[in-house]
Amino acid sequence: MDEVLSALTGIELIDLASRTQFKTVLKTTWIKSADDLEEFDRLFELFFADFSVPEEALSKSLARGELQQPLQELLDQANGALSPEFRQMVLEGIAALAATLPEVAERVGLGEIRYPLQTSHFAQKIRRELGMDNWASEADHLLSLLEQQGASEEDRAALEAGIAERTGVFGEMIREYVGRQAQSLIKKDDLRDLPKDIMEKGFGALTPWEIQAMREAIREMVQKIRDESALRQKRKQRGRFDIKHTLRRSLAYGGIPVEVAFRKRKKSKTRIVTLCDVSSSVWNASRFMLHLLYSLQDQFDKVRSFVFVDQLGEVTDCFERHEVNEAIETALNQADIPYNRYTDYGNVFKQFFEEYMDAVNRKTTFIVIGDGRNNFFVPGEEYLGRVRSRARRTIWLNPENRGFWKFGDSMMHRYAKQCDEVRECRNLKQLVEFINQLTL
Amino acid sequence: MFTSFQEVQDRFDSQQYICNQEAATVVYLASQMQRPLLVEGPAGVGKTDLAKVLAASQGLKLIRMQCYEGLDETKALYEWEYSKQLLYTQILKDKIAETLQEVSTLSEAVERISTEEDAFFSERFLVARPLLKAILSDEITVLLIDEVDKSDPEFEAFLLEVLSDFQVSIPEIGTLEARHIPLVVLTSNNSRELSDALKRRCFYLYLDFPSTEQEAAILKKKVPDLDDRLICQVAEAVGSIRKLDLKKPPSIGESLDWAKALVLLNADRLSQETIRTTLPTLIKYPTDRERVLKDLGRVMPREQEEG
Repeated sequence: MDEVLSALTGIELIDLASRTQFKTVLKTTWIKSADDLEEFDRLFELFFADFSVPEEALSKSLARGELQQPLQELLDQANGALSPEFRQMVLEGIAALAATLPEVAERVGLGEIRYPLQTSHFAQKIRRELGMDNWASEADHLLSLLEQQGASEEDRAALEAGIAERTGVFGEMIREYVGRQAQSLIKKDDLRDLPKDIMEKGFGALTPWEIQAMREAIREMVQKIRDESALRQKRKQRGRFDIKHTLRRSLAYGGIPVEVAFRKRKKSKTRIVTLCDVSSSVWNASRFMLHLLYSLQDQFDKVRSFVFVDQLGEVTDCFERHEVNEAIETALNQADIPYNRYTDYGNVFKQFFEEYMDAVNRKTTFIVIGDGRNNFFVPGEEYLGRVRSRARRTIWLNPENRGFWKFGDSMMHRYAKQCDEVRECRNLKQLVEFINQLTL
Repeated sequence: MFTSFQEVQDRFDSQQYICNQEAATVVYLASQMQRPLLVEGPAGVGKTDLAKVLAASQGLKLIRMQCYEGLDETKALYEWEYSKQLLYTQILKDKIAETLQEVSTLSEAVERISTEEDAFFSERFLVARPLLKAILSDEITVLLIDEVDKSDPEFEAFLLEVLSDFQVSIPEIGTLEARHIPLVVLTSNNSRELSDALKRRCFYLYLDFPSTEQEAAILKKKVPDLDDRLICQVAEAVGSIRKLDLKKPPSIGESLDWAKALVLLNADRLSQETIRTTLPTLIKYPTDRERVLKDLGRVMPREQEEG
């Protein structure tokens, strides 16, 4: 509300005829995040298209005063042959016609549009309602009249070009107008479908739309975790009484301990190494795990991340350089590991042990996300054991229902012995619980 | 105060700061409507300079508060000057004896002391930190709250309170109200998401790297010794280097350094070779360096070099 009022006050302060300034006022008062700027630009162009396009499309030739007068007479002469819409277009430009669009749209029943695919159908309906299909022949008629009057070749060409330009732009505007209607309807439908229990829905069952929606939920979650953690830090920060420091400070006040000093507790941040299975069965869980970890990166000492199917690839770099959502996509595309293979945990642990053991030290929490289904390859749990012996903690998150762990090619029972903790992590709720503990 | 965005642009221009119409309009609006201005954008696009120039262009005093983790009210708002207070109590001891010389009863003593001025907690012993300084200042000031994203969330909440009322309550003294509402500029590198409440208060400006023309204009202003053709080449090269996927894209300051280096080296045109030798002024990471060298052909196409 406050922001709307600001915008209104702002508009009074600027030159309203300037589109750039008008746009800047709306932008600066309404948009407060760099991520939203692009969307704002898109919507602004879409919404205020009605005002801008005719202005730019106003062909100089038509706007020129000398042509205007005879044109009026000409149109009066040919009155019977020209439709009122055509006359309006030629004389007043398309801005005036655009203002009638909502009314025309109602006449053709645009409200009944259901799918974006119907856009061109409805656009055509509006064109027909306005008689635009006849505009070409009407233009010809007008031009021949002009010729009879002995107008110069130049003037005729100018008029012809002007009419063509306006007709083209107006056609575009109709399409955009219809498209906008279609889009607003579609958004509404999607929102209705969003389940409330999205947090408890299994990772595997999420639709792409829900994954999108989840990002917002994650953002809120991250903010909450961070606030809590900040509060905790604040309370914890005051450590024991610091005699030395207090005495030193008291010297300034003639030996009276006016300022009492306390030792500051050092923040002990966890160092994290995470191995994420990105085969299709586990990908969603990994994706959210990475998302949460990197959104909370400042809560940890260092996060190093690897993704794997049957081979390991490090993706830490992607996350350091890109924004989280973007990084997840890049990580998937960039890590040079073949995706169309069978998951091979044994090989992955071996590879990690041989190539990346320098990432692990006493401060490291080692996290594996995967279903532990090894496709009957050699399990290689001894390598996991060796990693564990060097790390502070080793945790396995399994996005599969605990009940299934014993069956088929799941090697969870063997890997579990090499871990300090094994958790079922089937939905966002469980994942958030885990991450929250991790930041403690 | 400014009367239009053109005036902002002109006055900034005379301070050697070039800004586009959008930035000028936002600055104009924020100063007209007395709203804090939140400036975001990549490092080195002149966010902090915007505030400095805003102050300089109107001859206002700039009060700068650099934010960091652990910044608290005593460092941002006010603190009591303990050592002076201590001295005061010592003077007090002697003076009290004097004041109470002919007093016989205790209640009379209390009566007499209470008529004396209560100086211990008074503005005299108050050390004003940036926020309080801006509020108490006799003239309008520009208050620059730099890198607000580095501060803790609880400090942000406190800041919000100050920025919405421009008054501060000090328990021992009472409420101090701003004599003049300062022009507030907050900058952020977006290392953490700021709270919605703070954002709601502010006008928002996203400063991006300048366009090639703008960069050329800046170079022309700040490095007048560089000839026009070279200015264009430098601006274009920096623009295309920024498009590469770098860890730290070169800031405006660095592109100025680069231009100055070229002047020193008496370069009359840009070639792949000169870029290679002067790259350290522009690129600060080994991986970025490799990256630029690898794509040198794109940054500075051979055919352009000839011309």
